[in-house]
Amino acid sequence: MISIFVSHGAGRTVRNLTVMGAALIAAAACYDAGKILDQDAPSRVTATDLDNPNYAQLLVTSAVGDFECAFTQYIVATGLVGDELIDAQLSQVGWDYDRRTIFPASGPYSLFACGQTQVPALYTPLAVARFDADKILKDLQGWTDTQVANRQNLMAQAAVYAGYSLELLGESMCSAAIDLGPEMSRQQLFAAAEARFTTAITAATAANNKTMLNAAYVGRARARLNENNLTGAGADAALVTDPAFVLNATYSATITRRENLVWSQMYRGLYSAVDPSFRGVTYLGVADPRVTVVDAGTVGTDHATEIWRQTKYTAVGSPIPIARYAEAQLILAEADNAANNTAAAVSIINALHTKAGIPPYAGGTQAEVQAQIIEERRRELFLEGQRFGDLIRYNIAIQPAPGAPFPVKGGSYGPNTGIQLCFPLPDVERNNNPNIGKSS
Amino acid sequence: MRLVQFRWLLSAITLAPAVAIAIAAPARAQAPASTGTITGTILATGSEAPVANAQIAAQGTNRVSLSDANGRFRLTGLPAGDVILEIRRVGFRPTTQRVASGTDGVRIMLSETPLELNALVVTGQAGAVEKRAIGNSIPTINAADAVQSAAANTMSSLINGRAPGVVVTGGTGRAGAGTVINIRGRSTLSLSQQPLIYIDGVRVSNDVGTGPRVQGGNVVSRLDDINPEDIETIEIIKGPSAATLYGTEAANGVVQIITKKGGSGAPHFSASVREGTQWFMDAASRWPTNYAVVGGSIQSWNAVQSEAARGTPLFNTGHLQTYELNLRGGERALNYYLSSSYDHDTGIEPTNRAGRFTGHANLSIAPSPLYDVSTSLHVIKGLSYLGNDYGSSRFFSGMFGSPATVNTPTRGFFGAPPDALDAAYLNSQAINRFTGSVQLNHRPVQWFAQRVTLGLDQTSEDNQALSRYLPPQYVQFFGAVASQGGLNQDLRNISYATADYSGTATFNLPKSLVSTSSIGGQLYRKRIDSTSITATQFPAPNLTTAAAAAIVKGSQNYVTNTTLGMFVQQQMGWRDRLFLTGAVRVDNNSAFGKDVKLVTYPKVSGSWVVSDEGFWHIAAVDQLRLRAAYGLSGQQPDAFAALQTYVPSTGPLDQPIVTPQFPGNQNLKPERSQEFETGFETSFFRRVSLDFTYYNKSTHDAILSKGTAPSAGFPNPQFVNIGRIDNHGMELALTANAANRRNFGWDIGASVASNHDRIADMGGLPPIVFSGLPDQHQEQGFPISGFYSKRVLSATYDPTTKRAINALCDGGIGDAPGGPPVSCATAPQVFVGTSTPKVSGAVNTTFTLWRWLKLYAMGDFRKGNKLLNATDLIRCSIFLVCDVNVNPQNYDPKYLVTVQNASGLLYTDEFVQNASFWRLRELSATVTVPERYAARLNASAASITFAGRNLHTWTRYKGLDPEARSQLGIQNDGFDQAVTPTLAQFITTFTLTF
Repeated sequence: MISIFVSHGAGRTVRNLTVMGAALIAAAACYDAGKILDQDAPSRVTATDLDNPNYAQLLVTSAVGDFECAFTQYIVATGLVGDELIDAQLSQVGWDYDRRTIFPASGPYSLFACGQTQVPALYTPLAVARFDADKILKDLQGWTDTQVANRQNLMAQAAVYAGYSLELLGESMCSAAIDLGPEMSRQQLFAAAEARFTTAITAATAANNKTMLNAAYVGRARARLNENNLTGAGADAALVTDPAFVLNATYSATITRRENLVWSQMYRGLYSAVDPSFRGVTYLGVADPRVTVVDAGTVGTDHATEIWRQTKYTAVGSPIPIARYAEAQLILAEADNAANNTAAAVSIINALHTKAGIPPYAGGTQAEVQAQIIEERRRELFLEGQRFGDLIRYNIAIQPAPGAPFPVKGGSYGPNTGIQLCFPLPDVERNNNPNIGKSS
Repeated sequence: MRLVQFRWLLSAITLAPAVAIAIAAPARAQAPASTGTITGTILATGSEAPVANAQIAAQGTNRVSLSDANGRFRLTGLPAGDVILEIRRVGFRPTTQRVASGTDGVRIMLSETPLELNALVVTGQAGAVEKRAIGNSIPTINAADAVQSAAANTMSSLINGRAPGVVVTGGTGRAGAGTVINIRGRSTLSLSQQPLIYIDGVRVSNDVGTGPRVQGGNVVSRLDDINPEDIETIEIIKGPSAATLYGTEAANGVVQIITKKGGSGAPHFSASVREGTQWFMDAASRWPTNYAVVGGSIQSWNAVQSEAARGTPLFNTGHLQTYELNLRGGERALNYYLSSSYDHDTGIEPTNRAGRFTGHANLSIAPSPLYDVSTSLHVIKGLSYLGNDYGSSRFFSGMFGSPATVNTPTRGFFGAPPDALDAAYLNSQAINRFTGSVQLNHRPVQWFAQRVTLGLDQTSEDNQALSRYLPPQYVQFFGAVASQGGLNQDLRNISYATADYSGTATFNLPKSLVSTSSIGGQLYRKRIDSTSITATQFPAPNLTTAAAAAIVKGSQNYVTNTTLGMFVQQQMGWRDRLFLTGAVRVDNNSAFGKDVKLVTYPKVSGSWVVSDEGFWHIAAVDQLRLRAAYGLSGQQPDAFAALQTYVPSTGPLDQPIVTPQFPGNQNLKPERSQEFETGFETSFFRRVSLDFTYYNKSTHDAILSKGTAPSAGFPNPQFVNIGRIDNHGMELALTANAANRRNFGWDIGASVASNHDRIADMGGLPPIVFSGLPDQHQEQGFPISGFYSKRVLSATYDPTTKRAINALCDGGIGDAPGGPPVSCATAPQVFVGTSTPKVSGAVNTTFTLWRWLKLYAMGDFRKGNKLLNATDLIRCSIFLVCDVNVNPQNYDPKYLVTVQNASGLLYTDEFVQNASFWRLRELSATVTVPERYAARLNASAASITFAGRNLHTWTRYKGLDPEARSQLGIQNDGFDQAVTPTLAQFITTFTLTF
């Protein structure tokens, strides 16, 4: 434009400018103003775009993906509060887990979303996974087989993952909510989980999906165990007859939220370590291969806590069992023992011992067998997201005792008076859920 | 749909200039023949010191010249006959003088004035307007003076302490690190607190906290890219009542940077060299000493002292250097200002240095009196190695170390010794930035002027956080995997495009009335393109790129945001002494919810120069102006805040999935801040000026990032319009010319500003904590981002357990302190303060001796602000390495309660410390070399300045530095954990003009 000014007379310049300006401005005026102000969202999908049967498979896969992410976060978070893991990192907000000083306002357990690497999340990922699975389950129930191919199969999957989300909410939270509904007790959450698994059993049967059917039976047995319905639990567990059955949560190195966090916490990040109570576990002098822990020979990022690594998950993509035959057997053993069939329970324990290659269990009184079942669960289901539920359900005294000093990073172990081992309903739910009374 | 209604408005805006130009073209007048020249000198009345950078304009033409360092100017291309020269200079009373074309050696005296009602202000106006017509206080910073006398080597230091109510907060003293600016306190809960920044009328990036996202590397503010040497003046609009014409986004104020322009006359070269040092003053005595019981006895360790004794000093002395060259002049219709500079600063740590090259060209072409075109072009290329703070710095490892480990490879440091950290981490930001604008001013007829500005600000950032592959001796400190290193790279392209039109028609009406009507429209478009790469595990040493790493993950994204707005303004002036202005701004923005239509911001203001009235007979008071203004402005939500969205991710078997992300809010509107300000400016005895302002601001529809119940499925917060924030305060600026004799001049300036903010209404929501950290939160009835703590009232000491027992805490009146004592276990966390200063200000004084020596000092202060001394909290309550941990019996049991319980951040009272301070910010001596000596260097002028910065601080804060912040640009920024303090500097500047 400058050359125009220099080479022409002023009059022509103004005329040129007028023409150019008028042309530019006319073009701008004709341009659709609406387009200028449209909000481009190239990396997001609007919720309304997804309300469509064409996306049924995508949304079920998405629900599975969200659960798998929540599940690995859950194992680390509850492992830290429970007795499987200890903290070895320097982020102050993370210490509340291991120190057991969780308050309703605490951030990580309530606000953190999926995909954390250092300080794990808990409530939000589970709530999201539950929402995803329930939403697509409800949609699938409203759609027809002609609209959605493979509908029963998809419903079975959605219901199983909704059931497990509710199951884990029940085992970890003192209370929780779903879909902005009222506060639900643990028992209400277990009942809701049971209902999802019942739906899953019907759909998996119709779709002839054996894995989902077994997963639903194990899930319902677990829910019933929590509801203290041992007979019902045993009945469901007995229906799982395939010794090879396992429903795995899958992981991979693709992106952070797909990683097995139990692995990355100890092998890459040095953020947590296996608790001393799980180191050097033996049975009658023989090392128990179900709980092998090795000294990494390094300290964590807090530069003080020695890192002892689990060897169950040795890669970033190692899968973690959500439900499997051995769990069903242990539930069955517990039901048998409760029904005074101690011998059946001992035989189940010994089948597990044989498989592990450790000496057999000699048996004992009903109470002793129950104690052994709890110990078998601790070992067999190590770092599978079961131990925290067991600590609460069996009312196991936690170590170090409340009030003992929290090493390296200050403060004392909780839980504080009046707060149970379970996670309190977080403020973020209480204060933003219209159907729950506000905190003061 | 909102868009349909908007379309006709857009047409109205965009057609206006076309219509005006079309009308104007035939009415074009013939430019007179231009041949005459005038030369002369501008001198200050009294001292007769030459006045540099005065603007000399010939009325009725577009010929403009600038005086050089000797006060000389040369105007060419003037019409024959008498010409009226209009001379303006910040700090002087504008004057006019009739001079015959062709005159040589005219002497024009400018009198310094404490108050300049005729100074032109461009910011917030449809066109340049004299200060007397504006109903607001708009401070103008004279950059050239500040750069010279204060050795202000960054934009932040140029602004700090020079405008009341404008608080500049540093963060870390690392080279290359920037600051944040808060104008009139805080008034938003969840959105940016940064003012908009304009360079020559074009909106530019106001990002703060940019840089690599790990290891504390994100400390760079884009404002500090700009070379202070290129700045003529900075105008600051403080609040919504003045910023109305800027519409949505302007609620935090506007900083308008006006760069140096050319002026007709012979070309003048100017070269300057600045050399300096910066250092951590009194490090050994300020650095905390740590204690531990080792082998039954109490041992101590001080990182600075022990490393010095070892011959490996913990800190270096940094080196500051700047080389600058500029050329200024004008030929015929073309005026030019060209400059280039190179800066290189090193910090006190080996991993910290910042380099920058700038190029700047301002051209203006005035082929006819009817129109002129100017361009403002800036190119910046920089590379900064930013050092590290918190987790990975020598501040962290040195402050949290322990005497228990002095005989281990860490030498007492926490985790790793400094040489290992230096070997491991390197944070950098490389930038390429272009800021350019073209402005057309068109005056087709006497009564109408219009202006079109088009501009672009484009920044490419390459942010890298490199962890190097470590040699074997350092592996023990980081573990095998981390020692293989990795790279986090964020590539960002940030562009701001501005299109701005305004037209102003002025009519003289009967009864001495002047009507000025303006119309204007703006389109702003911001786009951020980002690419993030995370690469881990190098196979061998000396590899530094993602291409060389074992595992590489990447992501790419972009975000755009558009604002479209227009305004109309009507001003009525009566006898150049009474002015009334009314305006309306209408805006739409792509981030508003679908159900939100246009947003309207009105303003009205009045100004009355009482001292110009005939009845004014108070001789001592030369000038008095009363003013008042009321106006609204807004702040837009985040780009996607309105939409309910899922985000794509990866699922089982690495299949694509979607996962719920934002709950969205279709009713989302901008925050609306309304402000009333009133005040006066006055001057006495032509020596003292006083500028007083009271303001009262209230933000309605305040946007709050409100947690959502996770049970609803969308994990992220929702932006909602909720509640109200009130904000009020006073500002007072005083200047005095205490002496103005030929060989002795003495000037004094002072400013003070107060600010009080309060969350008046938060929709009845309970307190909102920041990411679960309980020490700071938002609570209705209290200031923004307040600190809350259990406040210990009494306790006793148990010598057996060495713990404080029987602790009683403030039971609170609600969450306000002052309640009855209750057991600390059940006591509430009560409000203990905020990090926002309640009062801030500065005092400066200048002595001019024998016309060639200028002595200058400036001190600034903040009062009423608190800061969480997290360094001590971590030392004493987490790592237990303080004296109180080994000698608890020597301390007040009340203090022990906090220290022994602070780890969970519920007891922080003792660590939330008073961070008020006074700082001797600038001290300098400038010698203007007499012309005869300068001539020996073939120069027309030469000067040398010796300056010291941050030479002393008076504070009761117990950490290293009351200005330290671990992170800037966030709401809960009152956090100081092992941060490099503000460094002392000594700088020598030598300037030659040819």
